[in-house]
Amino acid sequence: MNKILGSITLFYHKLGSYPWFYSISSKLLPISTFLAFMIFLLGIVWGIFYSPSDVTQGEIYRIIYMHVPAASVAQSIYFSLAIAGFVYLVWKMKMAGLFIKAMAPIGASFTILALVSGAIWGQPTWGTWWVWDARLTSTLVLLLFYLAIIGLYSSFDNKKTADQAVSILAMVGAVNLPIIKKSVDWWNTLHQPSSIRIFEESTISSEMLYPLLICILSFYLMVFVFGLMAMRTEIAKREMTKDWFKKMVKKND
Amino acid sequence: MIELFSENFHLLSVCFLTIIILLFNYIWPLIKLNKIKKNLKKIETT
Amino acid sequence: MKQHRKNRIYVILFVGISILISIFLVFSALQENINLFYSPTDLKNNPPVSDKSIRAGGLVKENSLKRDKDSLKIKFEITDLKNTISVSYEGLLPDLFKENKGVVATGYFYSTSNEFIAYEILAKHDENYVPKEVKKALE
Repeated sequence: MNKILGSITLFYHKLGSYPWFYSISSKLLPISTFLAFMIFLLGIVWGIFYSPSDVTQGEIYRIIYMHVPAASVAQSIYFSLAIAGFVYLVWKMKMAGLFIKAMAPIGASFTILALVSGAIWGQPTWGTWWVWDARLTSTLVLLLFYLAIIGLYSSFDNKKTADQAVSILAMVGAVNLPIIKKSVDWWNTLHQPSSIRIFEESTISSEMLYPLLICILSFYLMVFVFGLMAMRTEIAKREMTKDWFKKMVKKND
Repeated sequence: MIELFSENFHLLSVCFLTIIILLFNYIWPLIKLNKIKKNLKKIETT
Repeated sequence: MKQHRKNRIYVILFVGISILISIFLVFSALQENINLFYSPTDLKNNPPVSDKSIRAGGLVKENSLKRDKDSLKIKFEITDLKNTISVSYEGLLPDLFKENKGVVATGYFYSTSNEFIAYEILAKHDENYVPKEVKKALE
């Protein structure tokens, strides 16, 4: 038991070290980029060219293969920001603050993708590209939280104060997540309830569900890749005057 | 395949937007990191 | 765990829980306004008093859809399987507008005649995705 706990603590301390993260991520990146790209290609080609068309919506429902994965990662990234905020506030782990800084723009970009793809989907099917219903509005609030984090960070000169401020903001914004998730059940919305169910049968036929799940998986893998890259860049920004970083650059790492 | 998209301008534009967002997330940190590395090398050589 | 870290966790938990409670209170106060539309039953029980435009939603009742031959005028009924209101509308309809499918109409409700004059019709699609071939096989 103590051995396991010890190795967890060791991993935690390693994770907090910039040089360790910088070198391990450079080893992880090629394989994970390749995997993410191949799985994305598989999911999207399957979804767009080989899955059946929907009986009520025809071909346009295929937007689901980008809309749902984008919305899913947008919320999950925010959840991870809130956890990082908690870790930063309690243990003062520098890497957690850096994580928030690096991930916020990625989360914002996927929220934009979810909102815009939803609007393009809604325009012909619903008859409008936007309504102020609970699901759409709470997703817009998610985007505003991302933008607030990005803005708040850049408004501080001192990195420590900036990390602290965005940690608090990231945690506060997490209350929005269950609201997004449950909005379609709690209130009358134009947006339909979710089709992928965990504890009961999904309401999307399996021929459409499988490529959708692959697309979702590939988006998570891509977020992992983008996250590693953004964090490396942020480490470089903070550590460019340090000797270890200069050595890494000399080795072309 | 061409029919699928010509009938579905909406679908095509979402595909396009997705690719733009993914490329942006991939290329943007690369450019910034390379800039920092280049600057460092310049300082080292001078 | 060190004492000051424990204290920090307590502070965060306390602040977090108070934010949660206040948000819960705000939402329960807003409950009515967060709903995008009223169901026919809502409209029957609490007819809107003002002449402001509102949204009504439900299913388009089967066999209730009547199209005008010479214009874009249509009439149909919205039902929530308990109560029904009749809607009239003139204009283009979204692709997914069909009988037995969800609909949200924006317009004015006249409770005396149980009539709804809509100026915007939105289709609400359900969460079911079924391949065309499967549907054909079932029929």
